[in-house]
Amino acid sequence: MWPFFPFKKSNNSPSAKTVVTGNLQKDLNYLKKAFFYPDNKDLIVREIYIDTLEKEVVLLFMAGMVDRKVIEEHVIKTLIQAKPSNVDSKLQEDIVKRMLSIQNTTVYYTLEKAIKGVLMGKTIMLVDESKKIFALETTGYEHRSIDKPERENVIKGPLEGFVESSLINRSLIRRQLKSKNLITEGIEIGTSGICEVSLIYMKNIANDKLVERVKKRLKQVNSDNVQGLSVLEQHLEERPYSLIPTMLYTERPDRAVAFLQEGHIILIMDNSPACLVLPVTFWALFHTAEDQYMRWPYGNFTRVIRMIALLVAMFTPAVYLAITNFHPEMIPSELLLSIMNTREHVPFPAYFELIMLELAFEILREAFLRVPSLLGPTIGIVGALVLGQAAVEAGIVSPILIIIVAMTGLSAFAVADISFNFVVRIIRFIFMISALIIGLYGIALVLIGLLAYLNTLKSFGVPFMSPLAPSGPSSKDTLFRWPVWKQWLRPFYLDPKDSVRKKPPKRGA
Amino acid sequence: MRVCKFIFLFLLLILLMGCWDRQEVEERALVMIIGLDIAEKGMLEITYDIANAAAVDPGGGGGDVGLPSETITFLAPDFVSARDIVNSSVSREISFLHLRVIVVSEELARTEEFIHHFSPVLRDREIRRNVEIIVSQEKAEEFIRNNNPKLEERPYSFFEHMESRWRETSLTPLSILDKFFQRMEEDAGVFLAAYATAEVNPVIEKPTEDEYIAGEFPKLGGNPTQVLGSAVFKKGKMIGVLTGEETRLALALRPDVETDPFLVTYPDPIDEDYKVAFRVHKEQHNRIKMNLKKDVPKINVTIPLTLELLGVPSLINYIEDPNNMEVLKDSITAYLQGKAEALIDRTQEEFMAEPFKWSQVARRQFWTLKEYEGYHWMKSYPKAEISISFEIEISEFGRQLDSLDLQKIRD
Amino acid sequence: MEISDGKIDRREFFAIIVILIASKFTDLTATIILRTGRTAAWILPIISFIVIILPFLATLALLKRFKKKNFIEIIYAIAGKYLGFVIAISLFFILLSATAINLRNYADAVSTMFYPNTPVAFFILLGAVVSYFIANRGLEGIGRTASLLLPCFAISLLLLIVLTWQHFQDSYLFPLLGPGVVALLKDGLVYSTIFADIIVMAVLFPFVKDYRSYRTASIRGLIVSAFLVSLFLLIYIIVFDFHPATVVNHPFHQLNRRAQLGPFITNVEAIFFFFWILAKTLRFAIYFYVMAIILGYSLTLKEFEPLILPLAGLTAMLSLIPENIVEGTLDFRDNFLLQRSWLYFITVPIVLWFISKWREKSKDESL
Repeated sequence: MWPFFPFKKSNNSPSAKTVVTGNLQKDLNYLKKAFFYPDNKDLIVREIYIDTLEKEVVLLFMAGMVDRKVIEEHVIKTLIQAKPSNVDSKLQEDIVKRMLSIQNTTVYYTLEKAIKGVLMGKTIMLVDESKKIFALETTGYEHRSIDKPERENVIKGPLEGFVESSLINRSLIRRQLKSKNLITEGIEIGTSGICEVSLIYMKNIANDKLVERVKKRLKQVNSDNVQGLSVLEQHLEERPYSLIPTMLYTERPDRAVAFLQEGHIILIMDNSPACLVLPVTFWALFHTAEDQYMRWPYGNFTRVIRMIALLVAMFTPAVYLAITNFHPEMIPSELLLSIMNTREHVPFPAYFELIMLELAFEILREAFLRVPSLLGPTIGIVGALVLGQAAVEAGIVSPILIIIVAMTGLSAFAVADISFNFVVRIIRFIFMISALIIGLYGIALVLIGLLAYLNTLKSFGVPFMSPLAPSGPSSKDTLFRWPVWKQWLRPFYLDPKDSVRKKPPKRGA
Repeated sequence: MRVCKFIFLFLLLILLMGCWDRQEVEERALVMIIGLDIAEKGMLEITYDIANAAAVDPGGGGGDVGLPSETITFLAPDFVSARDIVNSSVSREISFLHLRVIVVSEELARTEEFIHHFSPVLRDREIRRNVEIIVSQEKAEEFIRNNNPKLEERPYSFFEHMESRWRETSLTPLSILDKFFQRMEEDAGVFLAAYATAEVNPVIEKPTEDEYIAGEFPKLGGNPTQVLGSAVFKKGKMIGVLTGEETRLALALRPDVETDPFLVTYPDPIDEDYKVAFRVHKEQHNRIKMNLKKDVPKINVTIPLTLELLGVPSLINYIEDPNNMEVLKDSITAYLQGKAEALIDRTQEEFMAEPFKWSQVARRQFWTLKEYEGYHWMKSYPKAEISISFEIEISEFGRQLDSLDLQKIRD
Repeated sequence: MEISDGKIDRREFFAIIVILIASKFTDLTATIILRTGRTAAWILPIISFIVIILPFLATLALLKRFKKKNFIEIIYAIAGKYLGFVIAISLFFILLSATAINLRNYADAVSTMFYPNTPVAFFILLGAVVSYFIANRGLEGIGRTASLLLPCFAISLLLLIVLTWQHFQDSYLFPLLGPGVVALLKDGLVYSTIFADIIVMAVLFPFVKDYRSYRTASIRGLIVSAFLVSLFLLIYIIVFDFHPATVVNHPFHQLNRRAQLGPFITNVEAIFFFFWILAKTLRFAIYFYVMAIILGYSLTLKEFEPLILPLAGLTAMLSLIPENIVEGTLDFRDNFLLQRSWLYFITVPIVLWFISKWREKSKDESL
């Protein structure tokens, strides 16, 4: 079959496109062959004869990708029941302009595009003796209804999350940001030409060079089908082996809108209940939506708690190892003596215990993701409490270690973003190893190496730690958050065209 | 990928190099108290009091787990090498990281060799600078073994808490390793170390409550250990003992405020059978004027004290009667002056150096180090003419203005 | 779109200078100054600061005149090819030996105070590796990390002062003039090399955003550093008294050991140790980078970045040479380096400035 496969020839080379001949049968046969009709049950071919124009018209569409009702009522019905009028039957455009009540049509001149249209859910209308093919917008397929976001929940804010339909996702964004400057560009990626990514940005804010750069990267994606945004992220990123993510994956439209207003770019695709935000800084990964929705004291309070949780999650096991093994003078004598007492009965050295427990915790975490929800709570109790308690009583681990591992594990959940969560967990192991080798000295060295690395990391040209690292005017929303009416600048690092959100505040100071 | 391999090999190398300083927590033997005694042939008799971790179980273990600490005494040529020798019988690595107290016997402290034996303590990186020094009347070994704190679980925590009490009562000076070496290197005054004993020799016939030294305070029950008074060290050698009262005075005569409010009794001027009880607050700095230009240095010290009248067993009305108040104030001033002058005479004649940190005031009189070092404060001090005056204010009276009027009640 | 163009701005440069120079009070430089200045050791940095102002201003004037050239290029422009080479290479050697000794001091401090059983070479190696890694990230990496960490260092130093407050005895400062006014002035002049780094920083001039940022950052940095060095020498004196202060090996760490909060929270020195390591590693990263620049421009190479790795290795190897710190620091650094190279640092910028001014004048006159 391969040599006859027409797609091989028409790979991104304009000269290989098959132009519509105008001969209905010929074009129809071409299309039928392309879809392996009649083997392919999903392709529907509907022939219609329009009385008034005395023309034959053939409709092609893919079952399952189209909204049946629209086709039946707005296409077939209107074509068949068309009234005679003073219409020059030679003008094919009149069919669309005067007869069809479909909301959106496009004209194609090549059969490749027609095939793509069918795949996207459009209805292709072949008109006899016409070199134009009309693609009628009839896309409609089943998808999940809008639901609460799975991971990014807030108490005081909208509870909508993206779904798997790109159209609906875009509507969610549009509803929140009603601006004429909000632009959606559809970019085709991949080699098969059926994968479309929606690139959304604010025309009057986002930097043109950034947009160009993203588009260029998108066009360089060299895979025949990119299944979703998660896979797209991996194609697009500039440092695939790095520990740090350079794009943000969020399920919340309100976050997407907040980023849009700062000048970021959003990518949306079908089949992904999320959007990608780029470029991204450390703060984008660290902040949650809730910080903005709370009042100033509460927002800052939660932020401080999260910062502490982040530090605890990264450093606690390493610091415990460093202090007990290398610097025991730091703990009060009583505490040290009670640690010694509990460790008397434990056969393993401290680092071995710690690594064992950390691994056990990670395994439990993975297990909980796959456990059917009926058994979930039970396993939770069994795993955490009983195992931990039993291990202590059997003398395999010391109780203080259970506390440390539990605290660390729970603190890691305080980090909202999925990718960043992994970063924290992996870095924790790196710090543990360095503490094992040479105590606090090792932790310090690894920390400063990490900081230097983070500072020079760039996500699409934006330094990762801005606006803290190359310091510049910021929106006053980095470590701590200023009141909402004081955040009047857009962050500089995106070089936005319009760097002022609103006028500087007059009240207070 | 080549970079990855290189990093991996490097990491492996580091891991293989071994961790020299890593020591599991339970492998350490924490020595909490060290005792130093003199032994024959220039050797030292060293006592280690090692905390026993298993003895105190916070989780409520119960059962027979042994003594809270293990006390070992042995002979060693010097302080440093003792650590390794002890490991012939102690199974964990000796660690001084949590050392709290060093006990030196009076016998050892009064020898010339003491400072030679003691100076390695300075260089040891594990010994912290705020370790307490206690001089014991008897052998340090006996002192440590007889110490039996009832309120604390471990012997060292007894001394830990005692340090706070020293600050509060001023009957014992704050004797810390840091200050010992500082005072010695300054070479301008004497150092006061805590003086203690675990043998009780009660002396009942002392007029006021603070004229005791350690061991003389009559008491029954509780921990036999008493820490009272101070041992006087000059140039690293012990030369004398001060009573509790003298220690308090010495601390009060210092330029800075080093005493917390403490309780004291003075003789009642009007009714000689009784005493009057006060709380003494030293809130302002002393005013010390020195004239060092002449051969005989002249020093004037004015000490402002604020007294709080707490108890009048004689029931005489001192508060509301201004005459009585005057009499009281004058009597106390005279009493204190007498005691202070006695102490100063003792320092000038017996010790030939002062424990009052007056050298710090003297330093301010010079512009360059050459001048100051040429002056030799310690040599000039015994010649000095010193005049002391106390400024007493009785500012508070406890809860009642007047005492009970017994006559009225008994009638 | 590229915000980052490889240049560092005022805040970052300021952070670099402060970390570079002020961290001198944390190592044996402090011991050296305490030995000579004794009770007046805190006055010495002030005198040194005053001494270094003139060469520093001369350097600034030169940079302004030559616009966009760094110090080495200026040297070549004024002194010609051969003499310029001599001057530039001697600067390189001074810096190389200083860094090697510094690295050794630092490794010694870590080893003595915290890890007695670990060989010193281990710390030299690790320190050099991590500093190289940071230097390799470029000046931006160094600058940003420095400006990020500077507030943390400031807070930890403040905490240190607060926690050691109870040990301050201001009478230890007296006699005020210590060894005498003449001795102080002489030592202040000789030891002005502790601030000589500010002149070495002129090699970074083209990498700083513009002349004004460079000038503001270096002036402020110099003042802050002089203040900090003087302040901490003062603190060492009033906590330790002058005599023990001269004998104590690592005054900064001994100070840390005295930080205390109440009777039960003692020995928090490891926290300050942690921040100190961060600062020192940054400092060596800066030195490696600057050395690479100096060597690169001295030999008029096209790129200097590949030089960082071999220089780091060379420094590490040189650090291993001295047998102990007495030989290494107190002899070599004190006698030779610090006390002789002051001549170089003071005269070179001033002489160069004079020559360039004289040439300008003669050019004007000949028109």
